[in-house]
Amino acid sequence: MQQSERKWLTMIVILCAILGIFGYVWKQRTQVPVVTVTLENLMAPFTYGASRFLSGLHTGIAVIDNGILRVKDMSDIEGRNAELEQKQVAYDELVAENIRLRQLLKFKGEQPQFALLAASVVTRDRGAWTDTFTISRGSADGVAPNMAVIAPRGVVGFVSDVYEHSARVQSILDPRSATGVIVQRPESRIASILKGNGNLPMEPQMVNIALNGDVLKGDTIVTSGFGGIYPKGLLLGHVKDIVTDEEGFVKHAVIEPTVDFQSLEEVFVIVSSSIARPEAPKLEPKLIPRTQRDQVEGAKGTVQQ
Amino acid sequence: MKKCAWILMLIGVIILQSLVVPRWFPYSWAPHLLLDIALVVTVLKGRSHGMMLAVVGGIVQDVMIGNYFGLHVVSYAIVSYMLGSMQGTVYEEQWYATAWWTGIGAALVMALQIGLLWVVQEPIVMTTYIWNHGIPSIGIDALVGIVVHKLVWRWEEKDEYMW
Repeated sequence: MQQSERKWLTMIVILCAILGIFGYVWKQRTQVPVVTVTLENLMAPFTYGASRFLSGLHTGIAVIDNGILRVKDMSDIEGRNAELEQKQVAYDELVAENIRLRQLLKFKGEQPQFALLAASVVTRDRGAWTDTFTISRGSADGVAPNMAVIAPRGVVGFVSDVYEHSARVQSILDPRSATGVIVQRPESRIASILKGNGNLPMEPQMVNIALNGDVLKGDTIVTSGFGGIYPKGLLLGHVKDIVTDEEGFVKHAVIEPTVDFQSLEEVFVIVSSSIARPEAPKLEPKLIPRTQRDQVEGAKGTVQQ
Repeated sequence: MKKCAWILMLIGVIILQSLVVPRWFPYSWAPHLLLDIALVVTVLKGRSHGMMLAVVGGIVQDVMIGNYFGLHVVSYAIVSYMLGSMQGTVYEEQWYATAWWTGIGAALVMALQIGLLWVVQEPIVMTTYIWNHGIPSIGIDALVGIVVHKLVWRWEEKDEYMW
C-alpha cells in the first residue's frame, strides 16, 4: 500500500470517529444542560434568522412560482378566451345564418303557389344611376330572363340577364324598373306603376296617381300582376309620403320598401307560379251600325231583345 | 411582372368594389375605388397610366353593372385626361394635394355623369342628386385618395429598389 493511500484511509477513519463522537454528544445533549442551553442560546438568533430567511425565501419562491403559474394560466386563459370569442363569433354567425335560412324555409313553405329557387347574392353593383346585383344561380339551374326575384320581406326585382351559373337582377330601386302595383286597402285598390328613383335610391315612387286618388300614408302596396313579371299580391312596401307633381295634375306616392336592400344576402327566384295572370281586357271593336247600336247595347227606356 | 401586378391589383379592386364596399357603406357613402385609383395614378404617374386605368376600370364598371354604357368610362376618361396635366406637381409628402385633386376629379366625374343622364332624358333632379350622392361620396373619395397615394408611393419605392 502506498503512503498516499494510507494517509487518505487515516483521514477517513478520523472523520468517521469525529462524526461518531459528535453524534453521540448530540444524542446526549439534553443530559448535559450546560452544553445544551449554551448551545441553544448561541444558536437561537442564527436559527431564528435562518428560519425567517428560509421562510421568506420560501414565500418569495412560492410567490414567484405562483406568479409564473398565474402568468402561464393567464396566457392560457387569454388563449382560451380568444378561442372562445372566435367560437362565439362563429356560433353567432351560424345562429344568424340558421335564423335566416329558417325564415327562408318557412317563407318557401308558406308559398305553395310558387316554385321557388333559392340563390345567394354574390356581388352588388351600384352605378351612378342604376341598381343591380348578381345572384348565384343561372340558366343551368333553370333561371330565365324576366323571372321575379323576391325575399321573405317582399319583392326585390327581376332577372335582367342570365349566364350559365349566375344571373343579374335589376332591383325595383333601379330607375329603369317599372312595376305594376296596387294599393292593398279594400276601399282603395288604386293601380299604378312603381318606378325607381335614381335621385333617392331608397325611395321608389308610385307615379301618376290622379289627384283625387285614394292613397294614404301607411298604405300597403302590393304587386298588381299586370306586366307579366310579378305575380299578383306580393308585398312591396308602404306609402311613406305623398307629393303632388310640379304641374299639379297628378301626385306621386313615395314608397318605403319592406326589403332591406343594404343587407340582402339570400333571395328566391320565382321559377313558376300557379297564380293565373290577370286577363287583359279584351278590346275587340264592335263594328255595329249606328241604327242597331241601341238594340245591342241597350238604350235608355228600351227593352233589350 | 409589373403588368401582372397591375392586372392583379385591378381584379382585387373590382372584387373590393363589388363585394366589400356595398356591404360596408350605405348607398350614398360608397367610395368609387376604381375612379380613385385612376385619379391618383393620373396625378402621380401621368396621363397615360391614369387614362389606361380609367378606361379599363370604366368599361369594367359599365359592363358589370349593365349601366347606360359609357356613363362611367366616358366620364372617367375625360376627367383623367384633364387631371393628366397635374403630373409632376404632386410629390410624396403632398398627400393632401392628392386628396384635393381626387375630390375635384370625383366632383368633375359627377358633373359629367349628371350631364350624360340629362342628355339621355333621365328624370335627374340636380340638387337632390348632388346632395344625396355627390357631397358624401366626394368626401369619401378624397379620403380614399390619401390611402391610395400612400400605397402607390410605397409600391413605387419598392419597385425602384428592386430594379
